[in-house]
Amino acid sequence: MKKIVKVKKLSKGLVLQGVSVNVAGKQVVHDVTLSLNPGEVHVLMGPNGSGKSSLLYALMGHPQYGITKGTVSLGGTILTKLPPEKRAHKGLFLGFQQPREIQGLRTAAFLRSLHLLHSKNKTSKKQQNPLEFMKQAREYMHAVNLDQDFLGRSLNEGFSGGEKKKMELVQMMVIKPKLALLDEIDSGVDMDALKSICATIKILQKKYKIGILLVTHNPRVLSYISPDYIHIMQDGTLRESGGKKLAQRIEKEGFKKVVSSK
Amino acid sequence: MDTKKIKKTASAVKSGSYKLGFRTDVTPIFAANFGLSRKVIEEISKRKQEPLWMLEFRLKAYEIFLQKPMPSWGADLSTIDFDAIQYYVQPDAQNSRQWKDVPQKIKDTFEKLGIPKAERKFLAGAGSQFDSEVIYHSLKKTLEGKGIIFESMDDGLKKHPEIVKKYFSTVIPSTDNKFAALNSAVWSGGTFIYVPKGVHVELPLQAYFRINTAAMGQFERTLIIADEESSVHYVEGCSAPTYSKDSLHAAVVEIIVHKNARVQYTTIQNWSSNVYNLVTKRAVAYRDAEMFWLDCNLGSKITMKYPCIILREEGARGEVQSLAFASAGQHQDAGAKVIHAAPHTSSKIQSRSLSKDGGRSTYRGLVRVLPQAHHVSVNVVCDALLLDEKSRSDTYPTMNIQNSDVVISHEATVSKIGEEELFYLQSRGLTQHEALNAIVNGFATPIIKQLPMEYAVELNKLLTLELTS
Repeated sequence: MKKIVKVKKLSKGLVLQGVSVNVAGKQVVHDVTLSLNPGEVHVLMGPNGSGKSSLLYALMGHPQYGITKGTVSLGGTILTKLPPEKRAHKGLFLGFQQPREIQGLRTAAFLRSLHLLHSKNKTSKKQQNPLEFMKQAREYMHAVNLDQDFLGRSLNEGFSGGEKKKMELVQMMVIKPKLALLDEIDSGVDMDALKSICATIKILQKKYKIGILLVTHNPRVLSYISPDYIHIMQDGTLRESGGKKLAQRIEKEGFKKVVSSK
Repeated sequence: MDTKKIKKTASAVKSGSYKLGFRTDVTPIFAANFGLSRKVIEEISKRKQEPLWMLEFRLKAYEIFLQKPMPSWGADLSTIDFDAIQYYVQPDAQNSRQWKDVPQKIKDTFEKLGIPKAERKFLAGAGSQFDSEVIYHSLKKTLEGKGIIFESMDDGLKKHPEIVKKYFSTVIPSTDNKFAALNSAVWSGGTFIYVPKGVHVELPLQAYFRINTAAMGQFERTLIIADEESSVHYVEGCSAPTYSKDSLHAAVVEIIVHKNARVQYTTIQNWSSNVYNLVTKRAVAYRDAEMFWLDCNLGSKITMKYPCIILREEGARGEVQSLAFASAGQHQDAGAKVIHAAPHTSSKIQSRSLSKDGGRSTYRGLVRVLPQAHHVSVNVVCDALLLDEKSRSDTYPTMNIQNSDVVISHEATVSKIGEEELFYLQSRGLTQHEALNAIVNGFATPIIKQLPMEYAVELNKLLTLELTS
């Protein structure tokens, strides 16, 4: 069942229309159409190699992942031809599966520069002076249970998997994007950390009305996140989309079964 | 001189044709002032009014220089013509260029680094000195009260001959290498520092305070002595581009660190692209003493420099931190040498190099542990970052370990700018240039953060500027 979505109608959120993605000459995503209203939480599920992460990379503008067909828009702006930094300024955020370590780049200084970058042209985001900002940054760290010491360290350097994921959330709190793409939030993370991360995501989403598109292949995440919509991908195509009922079926039967039963 | 001659000389000075301040009836060879000979050396020593022992030392070194072959390794020195060099220049000699002829890029760099206007002309080779003399002299008064000596090498020899004679050339003999021999024969300028027992020099002593054409010569000789229990930090150079009309710089730096004393010697070198910078630097550390070389090489066409530490007695510690940046047409051949000549000694070498636009950076290191040196620990880490496909990095680490009761570690990495790292930062809203800047400055940070703050800030700015060009 293909839904033809007109960009005009849902211009406020994220709209993908017939998106195909190529990496290293191989097509890994075929003709994906989906849309997300502002403030909604969507989960994108599927087995390994189904193209979920590739899709997210392409949405963010990774040079190796090319969108060969279709369009992507956020808040009415077409993103498809823009470089990653411009997409970020239009309100898109990507929480990496493996956040990169940047040696010598002090976390506190980096967060401050993000604050300055993203508060420039936005009337709703007031620019804080260094003292105000640092106080705020410490609150963010506290909210995700990250030790304040990390602020003095190089960005992500020597952080554990869970700590890196939490640092992605801290950056998200500083930037306050319109839409956050979260890639495999559960990989490398123990159960307690996962619960805490999911709880934080929900709080952020409610507080700042951030749209969330979360990629995972772990059905347990569904119960922690309670998404508005779920999409299932397999072999690069979108197989099924649904709401709470689909979520219940997946939790009960696992998504493989749900997909194959179609 | 009669009135006619005075008037003639005066107009010559005014017109700019008066070069060296010599009388007009001087012998042709010396008037032309190119090339080296015994006569040139004798004249140098005579004009400086040096004691006989120094003249004899120079002449002996000259003989050694003539006999020594050029090094068979390292950078390409084949274009050096010893006969085309002026070995002695009067302190008030004409400067080489006009401000209007200074390249715009250099002027822009001064502007962006915030270099005070008074200093720019001097750094660009268009002025003979700037008014730091006042700072220097008031600093000297404070230091003298504590018995600290901070002079030019020439003045040090005149005012404190006993100390100089005791230590001069005890760390680096004239026979060490061809360029040390050359320096020993024709040295002029440089710094002499003596810190008495138990005295700690709180603020870094900076060569910049006494800077003028005489102090910043091609054959500087520096001698630093830290007596027992004392400490001092000496800083030379600056990150702003510094013009030298002389293409051969062969400096010698000797440091003696007595029992329980500490010396840090920081260098930030950004010579103009015509310079061959061939430096011999060595320190001796005695019982429980600590020597720290912090060496940043940004400029010159070719630099060959391997700060060395001899850990002569038990408990001595040595550290060399080196940052090299090689851009188009540059070869930074730098590194470190540590010799463990006593037990219970430790050393650490950290080298970081950046190469871009076809620049070449080389790490050349030597660690020697002599048979008598047991309970020794050595840690060597060299990391190279290549900013593009054209650039080059080489590593030549040598370890000569003659005692088995030691802990030695050596790690080396070569990397290029990670695409994933760039994308990660860009996904946060940084432009590709800003992302590259964060990565490059981050790479240099472990070394830069050890510089005095003003130098660190300037160096960060300079790296950022280099990336845009």
